[in-house]
Amino acid sequence: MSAGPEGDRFALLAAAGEVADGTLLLANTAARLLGLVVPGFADVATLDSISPDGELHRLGSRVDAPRRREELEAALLRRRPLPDAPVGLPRAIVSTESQLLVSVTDADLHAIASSDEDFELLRALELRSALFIPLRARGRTVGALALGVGTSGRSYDQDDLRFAEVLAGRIALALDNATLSQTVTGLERRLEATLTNLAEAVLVREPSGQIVFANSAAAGLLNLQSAQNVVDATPQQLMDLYDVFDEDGRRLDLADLPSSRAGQGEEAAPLLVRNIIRSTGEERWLLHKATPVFDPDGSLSLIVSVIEDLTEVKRAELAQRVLAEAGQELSSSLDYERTLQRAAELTVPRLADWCAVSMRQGDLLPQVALAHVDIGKVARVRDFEARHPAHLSDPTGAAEVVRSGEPLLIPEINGEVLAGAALTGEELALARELKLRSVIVVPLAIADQPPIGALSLATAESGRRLGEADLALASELGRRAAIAVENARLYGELSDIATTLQRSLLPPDLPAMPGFRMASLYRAAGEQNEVGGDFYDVFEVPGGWMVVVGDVAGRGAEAAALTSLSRYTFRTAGKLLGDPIAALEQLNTALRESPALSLVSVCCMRLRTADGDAYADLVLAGHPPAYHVRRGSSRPVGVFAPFLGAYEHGGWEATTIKLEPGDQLILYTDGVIDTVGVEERFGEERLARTLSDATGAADAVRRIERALVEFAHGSQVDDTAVIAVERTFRAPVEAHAPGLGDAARVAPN
Amino acid sequence: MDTSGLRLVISQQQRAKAYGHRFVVVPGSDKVRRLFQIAGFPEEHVLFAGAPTELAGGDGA
Repeated sequence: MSAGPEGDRFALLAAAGEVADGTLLLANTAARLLGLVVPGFADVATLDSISPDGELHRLGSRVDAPRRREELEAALLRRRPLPDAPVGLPRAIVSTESQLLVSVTDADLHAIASSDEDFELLRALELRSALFIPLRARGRTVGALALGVGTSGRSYDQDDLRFAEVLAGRIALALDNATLSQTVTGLERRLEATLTNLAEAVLVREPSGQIVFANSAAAGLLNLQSAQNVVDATPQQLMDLYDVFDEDGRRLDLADLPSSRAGQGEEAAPLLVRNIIRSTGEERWLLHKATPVFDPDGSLSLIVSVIEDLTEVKRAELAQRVLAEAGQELSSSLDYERTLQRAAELTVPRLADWCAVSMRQGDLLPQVALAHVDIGKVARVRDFEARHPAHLSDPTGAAEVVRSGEPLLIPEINGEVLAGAALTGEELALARELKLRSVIVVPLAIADQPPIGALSLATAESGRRLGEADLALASELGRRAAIAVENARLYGELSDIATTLQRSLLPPDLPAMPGFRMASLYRAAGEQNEVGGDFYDVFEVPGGWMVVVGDVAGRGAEAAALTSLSRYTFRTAGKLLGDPIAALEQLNTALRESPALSLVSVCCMRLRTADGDAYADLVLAGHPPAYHVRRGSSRPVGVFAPFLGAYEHGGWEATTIKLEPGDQLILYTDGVIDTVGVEERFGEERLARTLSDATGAADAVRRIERALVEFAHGSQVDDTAVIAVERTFRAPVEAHAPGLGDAARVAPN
Repeated sequence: MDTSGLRLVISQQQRAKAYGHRFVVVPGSDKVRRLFQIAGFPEEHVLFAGAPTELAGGDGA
């Protein structure tokens, strides 16, 4: 061929090699290669690539025909070679061998052309010789090159074919590299597009810490205007924009974050942090996750951080947890000031830096609870409150909320807010000293009732700005606190009623009985607002004294009514009749007239003296035996007989006991012997042993009380009443003087 | 078992009697027996069945 000197061919090969570096896109690569070949080695050239499914895709065409260049190149670009043509590109590709048509004839063109129009196109190229060369790179056919000469007067020979095959090797490599490059670039673009559009914030850092990629979600989450702002900042510069705490409120540094740990080769477990944007006070809960990416040689290449915004989830969880814990705390005790204090402590620092509760007391609004993580600051504020007690008439703050019942939210406490708050100079100084940033005050109120106080939440050193979600949570907390306080108040009222009623069912004082000394014990079991069913009484009757201990089934108002009926019926009957059995029968009749089955167990006795001797006529009605203590021993006394109220005739019998000086008779209710210990109940035998060494009435009662305290396990379910009577050695002279004598009484528990 | 339990027993005993039935209690532990003893049920109100046969209508001897 007369196609240029050898130097030109080397230059052509070198230039094709340069194109093969893979830095150009595929279309640009094809254009550069065709531009090298035409007109240096051909008048006409086309370049095709082969897809994985074997389809030819024309990448470009070049024609050295000044007048019709654009028209012919466009036509060749559209042209699709006939797949089954005996000569041409498909044939070369299938056979993987180059073809040389030294002299192109019309017959050749007919064989190649797919139509008359295609034939005319091929003829317009005025081809004299043609080369069809498969392009092979990395062991596979990646495309095909068609070359033709004619208009320049040149033609191809075998030498040209060999050169073309060498050139085709360079072109194939350039084409393959460009294809690979395009594939990789496409993947990168798709990956970047994916990361950019992820809802989670993604940051990619180099081992040095330099951020090389951030998506728009990262910018939004970090409160920066664009992803580029994130990339332009150093990690420390980003860190300085926020106050970062762990779940327990501990301040975190950059080195604590998973991305830093991963960069140091440490284990980087996901970390949930509370992130406060310093400029706005906005709080966010962020889950930081970091994954190191290593190069094939094992060196750290990148650290990919994903930051998930869990603010809504975390706030909801926190709200539920605080409400649950506060609710549990508020219902744990009826000492509402103590429980309010503990509930306030639960809120800091999780909800706010400060929590205070003020309760309305007349015209005052004292702070009954105050919490902050720094007890020194709490002391400072308490001291201030002591010197400047809040009044309900104060113009702003808790007083205003208690008066109006409307909650108050001040997201940002600035100079304007402080000026409008009408604070005294000292109050203003305190607010500035505490660096209060944001505050919420909600009323403590139930339904439509007027507020009984106010709950305040405030932020300061955390820099957090309180918002509507915090207000809703605080309002619910205030409502629950109000319920707790109201319950405590109602319970207190009930307890007062129960105590008063209980007191009315027992004699105010044991009377002085000549020749006898007495002691009693009453231990109420169960809730303070329930009236127990045990009672005792001592009163004078014709010829002596009547002593009774009784037990009514049940507790509460019904038991109290039955106790009252029993005590006063027995007292009245006893005083009139003077006989214990007659008094019991009267009480039995009264009980049986009740519409419901009303059962009462009683142990009663009449004490009398005759010729200087003392006697006890003791009767049991459904009641445990009394104990007779004499000189170091004790024994049960009494005849078992039915409950009062159960049967028309009970057959009650009196047991008469002659009492020597020093003798004691102990009457009690079943709460004594039914007291529950670790393994068993107190029982009659243990009671007998407890009493055997009793030295007198007061000692007997003390022994029982001490033994029950030591024995009891857990809360007791039954009341306990004990009355002990001791025969004194000699009758006191002032025997009948009320309020005097030997009567002793052990204070009720 | 306490006075509330005894109240239940007595109310059921009275209810059974009103309907012409007999109410009996199968002997329990010593503690329960002691409680019934303290409660002092009269002889004519035999509460304890002597043996399973008595429950079935036998003489229980």
